[in-house]
Amino acid sequence: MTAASATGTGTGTGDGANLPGRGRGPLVAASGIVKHYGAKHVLDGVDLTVHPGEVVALVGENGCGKSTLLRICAGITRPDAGRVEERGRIGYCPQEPGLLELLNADEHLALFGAAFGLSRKEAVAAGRQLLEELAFPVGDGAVSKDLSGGTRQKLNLALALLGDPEVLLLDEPYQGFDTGSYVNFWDHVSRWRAAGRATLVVTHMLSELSRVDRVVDLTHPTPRPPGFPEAGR
Amino acid sequence: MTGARAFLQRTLIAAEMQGRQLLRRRLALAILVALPVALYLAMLSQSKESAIEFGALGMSWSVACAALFAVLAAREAEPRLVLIGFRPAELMLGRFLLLLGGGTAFAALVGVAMTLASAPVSVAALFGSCLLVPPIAVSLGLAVAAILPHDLEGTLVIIGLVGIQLALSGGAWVNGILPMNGPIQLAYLAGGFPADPVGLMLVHSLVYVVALLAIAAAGWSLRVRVRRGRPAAPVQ
Repeated sequence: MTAASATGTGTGTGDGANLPGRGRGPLVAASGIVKHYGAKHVLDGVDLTVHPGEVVALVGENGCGKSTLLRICAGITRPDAGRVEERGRIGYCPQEPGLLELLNADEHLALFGAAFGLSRKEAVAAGRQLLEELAFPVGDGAVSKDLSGGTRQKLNLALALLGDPEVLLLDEPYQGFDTGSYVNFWDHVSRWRAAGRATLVVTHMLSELSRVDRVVDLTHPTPRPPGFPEAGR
Repeated sequence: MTGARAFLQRTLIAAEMQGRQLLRRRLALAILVALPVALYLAMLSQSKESAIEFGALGMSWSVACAALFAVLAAREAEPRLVLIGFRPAELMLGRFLLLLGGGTAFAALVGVAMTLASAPVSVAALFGSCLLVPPIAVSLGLAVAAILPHDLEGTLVIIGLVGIQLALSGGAWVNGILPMNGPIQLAYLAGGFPADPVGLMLVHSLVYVVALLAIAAAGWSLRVRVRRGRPAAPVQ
């Protein structure tokens, strides 16, 4: 079978038992997720749970369905079979920044903030704070197509964080980040965990798996504890 | 915030952001304006009366393509906006209102220019022709974008639909079943040519606007739909 068939409910070195909000059940519970594109089976009966205050890394080889699973969890892609149950507001950061090329950062914030009922002033204030934390050049007014890849990605991430979502679905959110911003990103992950957010992050950075609570490997059928990436990968 | 007020706020900000994006595409805007003007001027040397039809159909191309590309520019962002709380109808309505407003202002200016240059038999019919173009063309662009959300394919369909009408003579029955028949017939009337009854043209145009908007709304809602719809209540 070439399709990814993983279960994410096993325990890693940190199964989240003592994490904030752990006793209230998962914020994301996907079960039996099946997805194929034409004749190609991508996901085959994947189960996944993410609890409040838990950071779960989704790893696996290229094309094994990580981004597809994240999109299914976000509700943007429909699975062929299986179901996803979620509680709480979702913040979704896609791999390719879903930005509007000719809007600047403040305009993005005003537009995305309106979805939560925030006024323009509230959305821009809250968003600028997030952007400053990510070392985004706030206030330069450049439209998103004129930003560097890493800077666009920071805006992409800040938009996912706007509105204080309880569930964070992040698809390689640090792509293009410089070293400082990359380290800063994982510090933020720790803070989100402490704040009780459920974080599901697609990553290829196996060196950072010690900073997550659980690893779900879509290439292999059993979950692997942090710090135990497959040899040769 | 009440539901109606939230709907209005989100629709207006969607319209505003659509307008900001459109205004920043200066070269594209210049070409969109130049296309109907060029068509009109090219025909003006042959026939002042027939040039009105060319001007109206040129506007149809411009406005429909503006609507198509407005949708395509947002195709990555809009599922995210729906995921966090926008309704597809708010995004679609905001875009429709902005493009309709901009298209109507443009059509009015073209109408004034054509009135001065063509000396129409009926000024009312000429302005009727111009002002009927934006609602139909915006709806057409939105519908094509919902069905064929790809640059080349969508543009070719619009070129084909409007181009067929440009190539046909007035009495051709095929004109009667294509979207721009209303503006064309009014353009004939403005030029002193025989035309279908005005009431019939208006009904034809209205039916097309409603049908195209229904296709656009249904198609785009399907494309940007999310499983959850609205965000669930925050965890207590």
